Amino acid sequence: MGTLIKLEFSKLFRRGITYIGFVAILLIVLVVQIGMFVEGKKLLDFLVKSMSDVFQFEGNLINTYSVSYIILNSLWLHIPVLVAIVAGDMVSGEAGRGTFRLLLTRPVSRGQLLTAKYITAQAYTAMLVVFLMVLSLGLGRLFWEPGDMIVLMNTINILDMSDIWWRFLAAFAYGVMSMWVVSGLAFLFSTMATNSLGPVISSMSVLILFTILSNFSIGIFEVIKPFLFTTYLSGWQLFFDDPVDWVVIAKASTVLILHISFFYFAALRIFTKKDITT
Amino acid sequence: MKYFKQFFLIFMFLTAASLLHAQPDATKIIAAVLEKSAEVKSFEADVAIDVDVDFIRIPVKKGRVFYKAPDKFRFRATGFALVPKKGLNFSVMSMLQEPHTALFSGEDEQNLLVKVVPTNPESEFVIATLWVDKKEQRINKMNVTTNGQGNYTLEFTYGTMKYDLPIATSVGFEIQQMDIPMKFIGNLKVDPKKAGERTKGSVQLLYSNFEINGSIPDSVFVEEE
Repeated sequence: MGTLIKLEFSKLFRRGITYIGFVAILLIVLVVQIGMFVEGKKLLDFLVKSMSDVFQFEGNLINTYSVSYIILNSLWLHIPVLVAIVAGDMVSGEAGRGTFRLLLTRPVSRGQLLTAKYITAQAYTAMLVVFLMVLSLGLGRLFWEPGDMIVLMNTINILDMSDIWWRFLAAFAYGVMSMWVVSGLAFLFSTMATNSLGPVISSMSVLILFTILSNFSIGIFEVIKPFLFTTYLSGWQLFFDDPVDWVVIAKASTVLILHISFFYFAALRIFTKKDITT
Repeated sequence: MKYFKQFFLIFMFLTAASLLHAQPDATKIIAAVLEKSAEVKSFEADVAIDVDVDFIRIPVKKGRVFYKAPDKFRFRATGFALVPKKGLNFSVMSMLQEPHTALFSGEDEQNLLVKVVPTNPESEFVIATLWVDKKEQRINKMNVTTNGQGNYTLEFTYGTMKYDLPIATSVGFEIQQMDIPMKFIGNLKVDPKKAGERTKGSVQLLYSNFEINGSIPDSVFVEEE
């Protein structure tokens, strides 16, 4: 299995499409950092305007952590697209290129091959999220000093800088898990298609539809909302609440893990039963 | 009957005169408070600031506060702190140094009550009620109505220091509810009906490790970029 995963990784990183996600994240983070560097003060002034009658502010809230949080908040909707591009191509790409029949003549089972591809896709997803973390926090150090962080989470939370790192690490770990669901979905569609475009568009369509349903607060949608994975995609923000609601996080994590498992086993079943004609 | 009426009028006049004579002079009370506070030319102290506003959550911030007469003030701490604009001892004294009319308005067991009305129409406050300690000639409590920024109250607790610097200050104020339509920085849940309304909040300041009338370099008060 180890050799298979290594092979899948080497195939993955020989394709230009793999690097699109990294380049896109680099550019977006850079643009947001520069934007915040130029206009961040105005943003903060607007944010705390009503408090300035009563308080004077000592210290700077526009810093590495606050800016990283803003980046995550604004970028989180776009990461699924980048994840789906690669995960959606993992199986369908091989089918499209006509390399499956040759590949399956090797002494590996379909299950092993699919699992290796699945692990590779999920590892890529994790790498993308970790890259986002390193870049937003690391690049931010070039522009800002670390400091206390401002988060609008039901209330205005100002978190002490000694209380921030674990929150970021936990939020990114949760973020990896939530992106694994999107990646798993694109991977599932990938097992059903013979070209990459179909799985990417399908998974994005499902994501958009479910996101819309998750944001409807009326009648029937309230019933299905708890079962939609999109309801929990932004759950990483919960780690920045004070106090952290661990019950909600545990529930959200369970739903996400169930989705990840379901997508994997569904993909495995489809792929093992599939008639490979290319 | 005629004599009785005259006697009654004289009695009333003398009673009123004696009461008028006994009423403390509010201007003198304020002058005494200012005189005592002027003994403090500078001070520095550790301070812990605990903010209690229903839509703000901030941990208790510790730092060091520096003051140099007449109006230099600086708070230094690592990280970010919300320091109340009103309620620091020197800001109260600078209010009382403004031209004003002081009126004695009563007393309780411990305090003399004085109302202060600024004569300058541009003044930041409209009227202030002071509870001045009868024995110590220092302000125990203060209630201020501002010019357009709501009311606030101050309560000072003093220790056993030689100087009249409070070891604890409680500031009660009104603050406007937030309404921030910025999704990307988070999700602030404010009842739209309450957005813009004023709500009550308070700040507790606890001081310790005073150094009074020492030498504080001016560089301490320079704002860092």
